[in-house]
Amino acid sequence: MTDGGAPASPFDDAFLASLPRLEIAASRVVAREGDAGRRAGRRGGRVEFADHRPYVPGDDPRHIDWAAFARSGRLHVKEFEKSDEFSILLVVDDSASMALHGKLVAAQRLAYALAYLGLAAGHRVRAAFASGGALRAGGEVAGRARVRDVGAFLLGARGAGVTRLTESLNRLPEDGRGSRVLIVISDLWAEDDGRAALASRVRRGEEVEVFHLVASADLALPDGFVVAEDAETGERRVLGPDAAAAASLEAARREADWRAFAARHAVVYVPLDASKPTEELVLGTLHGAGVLR
Amino acid sequence: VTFERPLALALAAAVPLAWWLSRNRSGAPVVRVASLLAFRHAAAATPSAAPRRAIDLRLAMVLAAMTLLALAAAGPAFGAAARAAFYVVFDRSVSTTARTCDAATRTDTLLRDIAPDAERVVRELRNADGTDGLPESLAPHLAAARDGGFPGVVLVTDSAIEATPGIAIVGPSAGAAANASVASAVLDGDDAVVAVRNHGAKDVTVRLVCADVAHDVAVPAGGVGTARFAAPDRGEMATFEIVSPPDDLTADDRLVVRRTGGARRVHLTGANPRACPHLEAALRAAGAEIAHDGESDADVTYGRGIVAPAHRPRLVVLAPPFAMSTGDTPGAIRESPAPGSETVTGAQVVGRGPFVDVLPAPATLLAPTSRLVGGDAAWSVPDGAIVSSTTDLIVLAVDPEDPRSDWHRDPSFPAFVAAALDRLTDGPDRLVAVVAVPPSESDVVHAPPATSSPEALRAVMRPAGAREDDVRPARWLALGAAVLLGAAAFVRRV
Repeated sequence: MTDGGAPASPFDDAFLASLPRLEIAASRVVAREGDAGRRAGRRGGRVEFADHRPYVPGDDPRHIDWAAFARSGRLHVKEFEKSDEFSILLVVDDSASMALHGKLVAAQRLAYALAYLGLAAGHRVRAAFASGGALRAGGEVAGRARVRDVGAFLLGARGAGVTRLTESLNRLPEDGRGSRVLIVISDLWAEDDGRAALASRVRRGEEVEVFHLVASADLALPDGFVVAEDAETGERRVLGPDAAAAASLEAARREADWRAFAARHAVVYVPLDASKPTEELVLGTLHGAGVLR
Repeated sequence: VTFERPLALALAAAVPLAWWLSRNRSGAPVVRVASLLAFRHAAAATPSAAPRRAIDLRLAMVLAAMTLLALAAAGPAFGAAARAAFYVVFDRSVSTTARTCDAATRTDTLLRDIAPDAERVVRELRNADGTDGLPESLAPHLAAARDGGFPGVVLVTDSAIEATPGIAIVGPSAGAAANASVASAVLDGDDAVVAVRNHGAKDVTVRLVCADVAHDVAVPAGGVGTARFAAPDRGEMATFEIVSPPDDLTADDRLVVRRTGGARRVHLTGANPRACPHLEAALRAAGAEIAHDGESDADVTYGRGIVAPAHRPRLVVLAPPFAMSTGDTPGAIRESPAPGSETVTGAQVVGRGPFVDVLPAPATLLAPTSRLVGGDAAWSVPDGAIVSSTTDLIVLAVDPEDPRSDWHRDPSFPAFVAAALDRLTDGPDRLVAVVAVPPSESDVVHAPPATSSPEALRAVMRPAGAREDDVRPARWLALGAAVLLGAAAFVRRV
């Protein structure tokens, strides 16, 4: 993803093929619409035909196009675009701290996978970068084929600037066509980690999901005394041998704070190990946490 | 130690700066972290709390290399710090003792005005005969000055020489107006004829004195006047002196001569003196008095069986049969084993040295009795020397009495004998100057040389600073720095 050039899927075929089986569990958005049954009947009932694709195990048999099977002898399933879909806004923190220890790449891949899932599920997807208090948003797209546009945008990550998430989130474009799921992917290493803005978004009825990319290397230091330089501010501080342990405690404390915040404000908060492959994060961690189903 | 570019030493300021920066780092590595927030509760540590490396060898090598480079750039030169200096060559010839010659005083004033603190390397220029020998005599001084780092020399002289690049001239402020000198004294029988030369532009009458005899000699401007005095006895000295009028150069107002040479009393020996009538005749023709006993100035031996050494200067005329040797020491004269009884003509004889002017006439027949080796060959024929000499011995291997020879009829024979006696007895009767001033040095009545300008004098001054022969280790310092840097690259950071 970061090599530039034509955007391409960073995932292998099996992973991509398995993604359509998952959907972002935007329970808050659905609940706000107030009709669980309606949502359940939405698949194939309140949708418009969009495309065919080869059948893979796990696909709903009801979507198999038997007429096409009669013509070609191969199983294809119909895909539909929802007429009442919600939008997904993927906000990727591309501040300088994210550029360390592979977090930004992990965030790009994760955002790409989520965009693929959302588009495959018929939602509108928009990606954005947040750093330095600014927000660089791409265009909103729909249809699975537009995932490459999202990928092209995600390639533009810079990995520079300081993290000021509140300022950045306050610049979010309003969504006038329906409900929205706001997904923030960040290492959350900032005084301004955007909690106030996120709480505000929740109060507006948006589904807010925070994927906290955690890199153990962020807390690791060489033995002995070191001069630690903040990747974002350039500030320096001399640290002793006990600093790494203190940092682990601080990281745990911040995660606990986030969990408490998420519980208090109905925000989905999932810490993700940035060192793990994206496939494992999507199919394992997020799916296991119920964020994807 | 001096520096050619002292400002370059400012580069050395980078050394403590580098050390200070290194010290401030406390030796701790810089680590880029995602956020210092993670370490907000870590115990505060100050740079001084961090343990420092006891010796950072690589840092020490780099700092040493930086120091060496700064020193090399400054161009150090080890040696005595040289002050500005002049290389001054004083003409110490006789003419500079003229009353009007104030060149040395002028030099002191001029050089002090140009550079009061400048040193002076003083050299003197004077030939053994009292002349200055310019300009050739200046060459070694120019070379020495160049070797000493001087751009040129200051020549202090009264000689009419022009300044050239590298030679600044300081001359007297004015030339001499009058000078008469006792130029020479020659023997005329038992009289000494003394010449007085007037170098001035006006006629002058000088009073010339020798012992208690005085003559007034009128000498025209630029001309010569003479006076006749009784010559001193042989071996005695006489002084001829101008006592009036005084002139600008007194050194040449006095001439001391000694009467010398002219010894002609010889002792003729041989197997039979009566057998050499031609030799006797030649001796008498040469003015020699032949003594058969008593004191003599030289021996003349005719015959054979002659063996060195002799106690007096000796002329040996070999006659057959013969057997002659003056010994086996290097340079001794011996007869050649080659026979040589054939006559030769004067045209075949080649001469050199003092006997080249008394060669026989080309048609004269000579009867060589042998060929000689050793000594200095004075006469030679194609197959060997027939006359050879050492300091006090002349051997003539030609028999003048041989009936085949007609040399005794040739005037060259008594002339050869006379030349041989002159050689053996200090030459002819004459007056030899003992104390005299060369004529060129008496010629002081002329315009003095143009003194160089202060700028020209300054141009030949060696400026203050390093000298050519100083030790300049800049290259070695730079090489040392390169070695240190190269070594530092291989030293593991502690």
